[in-house]
Amino acid sequence: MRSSNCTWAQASSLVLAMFCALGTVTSSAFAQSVDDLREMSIEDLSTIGVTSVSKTDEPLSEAPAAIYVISHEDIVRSTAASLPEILRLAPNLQVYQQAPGKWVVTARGMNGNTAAQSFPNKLLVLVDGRTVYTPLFSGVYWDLPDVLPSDIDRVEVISGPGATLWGANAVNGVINVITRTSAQTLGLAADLRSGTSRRALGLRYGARPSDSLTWRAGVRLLDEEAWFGSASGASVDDPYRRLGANFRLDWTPSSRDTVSLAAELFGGRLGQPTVPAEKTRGRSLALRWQRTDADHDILQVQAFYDRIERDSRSSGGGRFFTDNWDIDLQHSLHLSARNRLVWGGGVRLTHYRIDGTPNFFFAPPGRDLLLANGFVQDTWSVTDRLDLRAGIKLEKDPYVPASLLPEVRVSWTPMAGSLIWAAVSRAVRSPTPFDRDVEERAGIASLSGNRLFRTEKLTAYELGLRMQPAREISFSATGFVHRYNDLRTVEVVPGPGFSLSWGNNLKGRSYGLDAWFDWRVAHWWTIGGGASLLFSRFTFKPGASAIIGAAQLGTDPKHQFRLSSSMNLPGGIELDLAGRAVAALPGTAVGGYRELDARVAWPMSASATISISGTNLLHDRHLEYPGSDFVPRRVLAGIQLAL
Amino acid sequence: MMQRRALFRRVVIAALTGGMLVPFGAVAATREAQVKAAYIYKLASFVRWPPEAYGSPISPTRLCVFGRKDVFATLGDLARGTREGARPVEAVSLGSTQDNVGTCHALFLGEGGAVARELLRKFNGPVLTISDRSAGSSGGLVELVTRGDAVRFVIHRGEAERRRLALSSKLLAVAEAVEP
Repeated sequence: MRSSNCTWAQASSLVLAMFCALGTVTSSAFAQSVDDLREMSIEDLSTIGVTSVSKTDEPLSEAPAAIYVISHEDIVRSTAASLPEILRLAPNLQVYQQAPGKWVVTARGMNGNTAAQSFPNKLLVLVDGRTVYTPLFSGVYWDLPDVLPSDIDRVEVISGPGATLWGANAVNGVINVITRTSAQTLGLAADLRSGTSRRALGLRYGARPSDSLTWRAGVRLLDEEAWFGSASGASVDDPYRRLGANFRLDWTPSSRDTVSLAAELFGGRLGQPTVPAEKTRGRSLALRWQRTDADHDILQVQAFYDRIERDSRSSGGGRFFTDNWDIDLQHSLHLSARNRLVWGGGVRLTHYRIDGTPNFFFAPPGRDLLLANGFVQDTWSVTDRLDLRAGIKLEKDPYVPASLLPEVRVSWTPMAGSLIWAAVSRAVRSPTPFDRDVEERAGIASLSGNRLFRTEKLTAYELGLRMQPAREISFSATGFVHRYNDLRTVEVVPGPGFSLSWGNNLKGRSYGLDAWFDWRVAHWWTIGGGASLLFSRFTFKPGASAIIGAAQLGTDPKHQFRLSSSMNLPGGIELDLAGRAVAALPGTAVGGYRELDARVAWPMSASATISISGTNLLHDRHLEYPGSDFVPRRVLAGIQLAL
Repeated sequence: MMQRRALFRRVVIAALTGGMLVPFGAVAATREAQVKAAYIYKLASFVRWPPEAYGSPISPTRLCVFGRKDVFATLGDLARGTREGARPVEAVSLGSTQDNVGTCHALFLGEGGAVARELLRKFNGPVLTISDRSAGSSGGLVELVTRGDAVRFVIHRGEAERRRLALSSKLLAVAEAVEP
């Protein structure tokens, strides 16, 4: 009967594949799945966890890691009109808005320091498996990635490292945006939201030309006017605009194979205070093929190409482009009834060129960066209640010798409805052109990249508990200790004038808690909430110049709370409220703040819903990040059509 | 209660091996599809159709699925060999409205849009229509809704009367909501 355990799953997600693949559990738990299903009562069915809306398996979010899943329903019912706003829904992320289109997103801290040229760079961000952080500095340009909110199936947010499977840069967290297949988005849909100074418009059409083929195409415009009023009180002119077109095709040539092709083209501009806007452009093409064989072993191959360009020459700046070519392979298979193996590897080539200015340039201005990795992970079900998972990844990053990224996770089910897990893992942020090749000049001062810059290293210890004490209530808490070493520092070096360079001279520790709950108070009312606590201490190593202090890594709020309420009122009216409280950023002008987002939606007919959503309603404006603009209150009226 | 505990344990255990994330997005179906297929299968067992819904005492009960091959695949496994009295239970996949598949006794709308609405119009008689709010379909006698991680359902009683279907009181009791 083992063979039946995943037939129902028809797993085509690799995640799911691994669920089917990894688990002995799979075997023991779902060996007679069809018979089990047949015998279940209808009440039983309503207790089975499935990720909201998606075709994905809930066990994903029950994996031994601090995973929070933002569901499709969460997204479409929220006030969020753009990707960073959607990320505000995850209690295990810290999200700061700096200006229209400019955001800082972190997990477990290290939000950077603009003055120290330290930009957040420890997250891995993926959209349908395609990395969207830039290899030039390992950070994310948040004005570039965009997906129509209703096309998103879910966003998986992992706080903590995931390097063994995900690879370098999955240091403090992984954000995986997974869009719906084109089979899930058929017909014409429009999502139009507009306010006095902001517009978010999306149009999409999907069709099924044959039983095995579906496609969709969409266009989208994000447009936001300048906020006016920076931290310094000066008027600023920094509007944001992004216009994009996307296409996706899903093909099921046989019952064992799925193929998907996704393409995107976009252009936009990001305003900068007092000078002409920076122009942005990009395109991408991704192809994925997956085969599930009779034993539910799964093979997946994915290839993508993408390009981004930024050009600020009109304001006296430079320009650059990056081209990424990437291919990955992943295979999961049964070793025995109690052992599942996943192995794979990938190669990514990044070609870039940076046309700098005399005051800010890279030497050399362009390179080809090659990144290659191979990994293997085994999950062993020691008993029905105890699982042991061990994996290792070997990654060859540009500039540095290969890194070894091991991970061990153990999880235990003491009783039904609860899960206790622990993990030790290692992750690195590998050197980038910004660490190695950058040259900056400001009067007699200069900053030069360091050719000896090493990887930044993290060893993370995590202990997590997940409980569902009653059908209506679920709860998750993860405590962590992160030990960092070789973090980047600004160092004074011998040379003319005041010469600076990078060093690897900070080390330290952060510890904290990521926790959240979900409570279905009544069938029409759900509340949720979360807390993230973070305490850090970093010290300079002997010999460091320590000129800017440990704050060059960032100034993170010690705590952040989130509380949300989602109500279905009579007449089909939806009322959603989301409040957040963020502590002050110590030593900066950013005080603690509380804010509230709210949305009311009313279904006019089966195909049209009108909504009013307001963000940051409690204050006229508030500050979220040092040196950035004040974030104003915004109200958007919207209409969602589905034909 | 034991049964539920056992089930829950299995689910949680499954979760344990549920796998670390891997760097690819999801493409197709899984437990969500399974649960929905099981709902279709179970819901049908709480419904009594009027005699004219059947050609003969041994003609099959047809459970039709539109738009979700994965749901259909599981439903096919569930239905295989199943009989309600003398009637076999059959799973049928509807590719499009042009499919001439005869009468459906139950119709699951796995996706919304114009085709789904056309199907609702086409199967206007004594058909247990099941829409899936999370997939954007609406107007079913039963609506599947996602609550947190779980799938529940809402019953529209007027729709049952209009379609002359008798619903078991147990079904009404288990529903998350019974709407007029």
